[in-house]
Amino acid sequence: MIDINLKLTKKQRVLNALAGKDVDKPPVSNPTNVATVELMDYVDAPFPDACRDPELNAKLALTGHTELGFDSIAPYFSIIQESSALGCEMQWEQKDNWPTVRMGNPIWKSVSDIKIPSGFLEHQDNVAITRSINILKEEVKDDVAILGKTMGPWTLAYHVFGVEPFLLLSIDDPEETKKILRKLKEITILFGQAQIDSGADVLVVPDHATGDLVSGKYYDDFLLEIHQELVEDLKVPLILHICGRTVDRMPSIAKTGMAAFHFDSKNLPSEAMEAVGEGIRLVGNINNPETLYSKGPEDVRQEVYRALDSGVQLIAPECAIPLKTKIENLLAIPDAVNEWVSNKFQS
Amino acid sequence: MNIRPVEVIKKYGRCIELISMDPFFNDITIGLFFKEPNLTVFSYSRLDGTSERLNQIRDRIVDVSGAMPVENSPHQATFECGMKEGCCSAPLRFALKEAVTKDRDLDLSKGIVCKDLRSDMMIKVNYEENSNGNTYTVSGDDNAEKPIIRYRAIANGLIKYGGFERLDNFSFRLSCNQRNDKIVNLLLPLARNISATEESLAAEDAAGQMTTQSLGFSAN
Amino acid sequence: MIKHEGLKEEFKYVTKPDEQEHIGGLFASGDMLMQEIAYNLITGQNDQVGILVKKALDEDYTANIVLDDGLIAGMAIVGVKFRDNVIFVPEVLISARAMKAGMEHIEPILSASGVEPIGTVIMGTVKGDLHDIGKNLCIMMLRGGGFSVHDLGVDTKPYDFIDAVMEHEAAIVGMSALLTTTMPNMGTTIEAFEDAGMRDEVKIMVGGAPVTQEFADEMGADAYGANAVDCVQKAKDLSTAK
Repeated sequence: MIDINLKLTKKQRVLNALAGKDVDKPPVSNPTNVATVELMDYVDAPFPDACRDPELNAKLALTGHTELGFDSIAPYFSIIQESSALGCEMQWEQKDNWPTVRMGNPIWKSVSDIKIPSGFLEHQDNVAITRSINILKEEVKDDVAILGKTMGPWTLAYHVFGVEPFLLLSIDDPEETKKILRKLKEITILFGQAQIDSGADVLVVPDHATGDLVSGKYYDDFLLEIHQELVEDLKVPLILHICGRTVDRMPSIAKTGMAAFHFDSKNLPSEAMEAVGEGIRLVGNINNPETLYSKGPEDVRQEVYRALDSGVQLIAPECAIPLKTKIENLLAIPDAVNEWVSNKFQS
Repeated sequence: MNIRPVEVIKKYGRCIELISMDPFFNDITIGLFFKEPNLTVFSYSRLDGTSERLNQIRDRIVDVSGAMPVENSPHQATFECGMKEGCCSAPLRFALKEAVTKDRDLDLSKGIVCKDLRSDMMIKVNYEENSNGNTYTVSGDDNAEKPIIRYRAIANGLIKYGGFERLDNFSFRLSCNQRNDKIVNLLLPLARNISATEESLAAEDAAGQMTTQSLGFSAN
Repeated sequence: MIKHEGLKEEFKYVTKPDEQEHIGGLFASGDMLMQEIAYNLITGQNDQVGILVKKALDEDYTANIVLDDGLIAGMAIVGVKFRDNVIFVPEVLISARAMKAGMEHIEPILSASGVEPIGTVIMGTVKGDLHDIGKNLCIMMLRGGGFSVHDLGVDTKPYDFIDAVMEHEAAIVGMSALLTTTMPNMGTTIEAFEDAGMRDEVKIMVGGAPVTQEFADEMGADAYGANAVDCVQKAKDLSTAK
């Protein structure tokens, strides 16, 4: 429920919304990246360095709060930190593109290969995040929610085994696949807990069991239970992130016990709300390539309204925003939320 | 600290085009902002020399697009029409790209001409002032099987990328009815092959997008 | 007509009349062994497909019959099920693997038959695109169909296609894209062939989930392959056209 008389900090607003409690207005809280190439110039923290150096990382992440006015800060920009620390072959790219894992050359073949390297948490690319969270915590204290991020076992499996070999295994040997996921879950917990210890208020768990690749039944067979266990193990609110079409698996996602689900614009807010019911909160789902990247503030405003009118509890772009997104479109998100609240509750 | 984004937008207006990495100056971002009647070349970069580089880009935009420099404001330009309601802004994404990423003379001494890519023709765009106003007409040396089709296709391309007003299948004028040979000359090489231009625009747009597809987590 | 019980069930997923006619036609001979192969391919039983293909060849079925009436016919149903979200990528992958198991027996016969390759094809997924499942399937089918194929892999730059055409003196280039965002790079590649003055030397065919005939026409491609089976047919058409 929205009670405009409440006096909440940004962090309280996010945590309340995630817990299904009252808020003064729906928070704007992106579980994934909101940095742009212009913001990189603004604080002199370009990719890929900002993904690998804690000071640069923190400087860039902070702009989500200071310049864009979002209610949370998300210092983990991409999806590759743990995989780099595990030894995956990396393509670091440049300022205007995402670092990626070269999944064509996977590092592991079977469950017995899975070994967490000693010094995993001390690897440069993991420290970039944990130390950045320390710095950010120091900076914003308890005023702004800090969102850590730890990859789920399914996404890690794509990275370390390769998408095709892993998907083949999922049919050939479901039991072995489950063993792999259990083992990789330890990495999810290890890095997640390290971020909690560094000061993360919330953890985002991207785990790309998307309808673009696998069926809804896969989610039930392989991941539901593991995601429920993550909720037991990681004692902060968790936000599950899966891009692509996911509405067929949303009823199951609603049973994970996670605080929220970050959903893609391929799913309508209204159908998504209906699919999850009361089971989980939704975060999303402003379209990136069409709206935030290509259109203007008025179009952004309309999408924010559509999500809010459908009852979506936390407003955010659907995924990591395109790095060339124009800042005026990002500023339009919190503006639209304020306007919506003001129209609805103050008139 | 630099001027804040929210103030930049207030002061200079909307960012109508953005180049993420300037290949000739430290990979800085270059934005082209528009607030009637002025265009502003802007970067958040605070590196030494940025201001001079922005000045240089402004001068190049003036050169390639026929815009006019704004007096005593080295990063700003406008068009003779005053750019009312964004008039003349459609081709600016091409002008900015040319100004930032290319370093070449766009010669007009032989008129607005260009070799066709799909035939052996030389394509020509003629200017004349007639009852329709400042009129541009696409023609060529007819050295192809069906030259008319090519002329029409190229006129379509010019109208599309320039945001021009169509007069007939081969002719157009600027919405503000100003004469601007430079902008027509800038667009002609792009208009002779719309599909390639569209593809390169789409490829530019695709960079820096994160989706299940670009992550390799999707089969469609 | 379809006699195999399992295959009958699978055929129920084919609901569009024109597809029922086309795919049904592939099973018109009513040969039980071929239908057994198709069914095992659809269900991803690679060992079984290998055994059955070998058995068929031992029983004097020609390699081309086994390929067309067994493997390719089965793959046609897989394509329909995938498009209609009945199955997803893992299920397609196991069928592709079963196809490969069958091809292992067929390929040596086709290449040992002393028949000169019909033509040389350069295949690659376009720049920026890392998907190769569909392209690999096309390559397997093309080889089965009697072509010599050079695979440039994924993320292929325009000039890599051009270099490969020169190196292998290929007459056909096949480009695949699985992303709407990388699809335009097919056009960029065609443009590069034009710029290199080599557009008239090659026939260019394109395919991939988001690609349509209209898009292929707009880009100036010579042919569009709707699926791996179609890809082979188009390559054959292009070779005879030359």
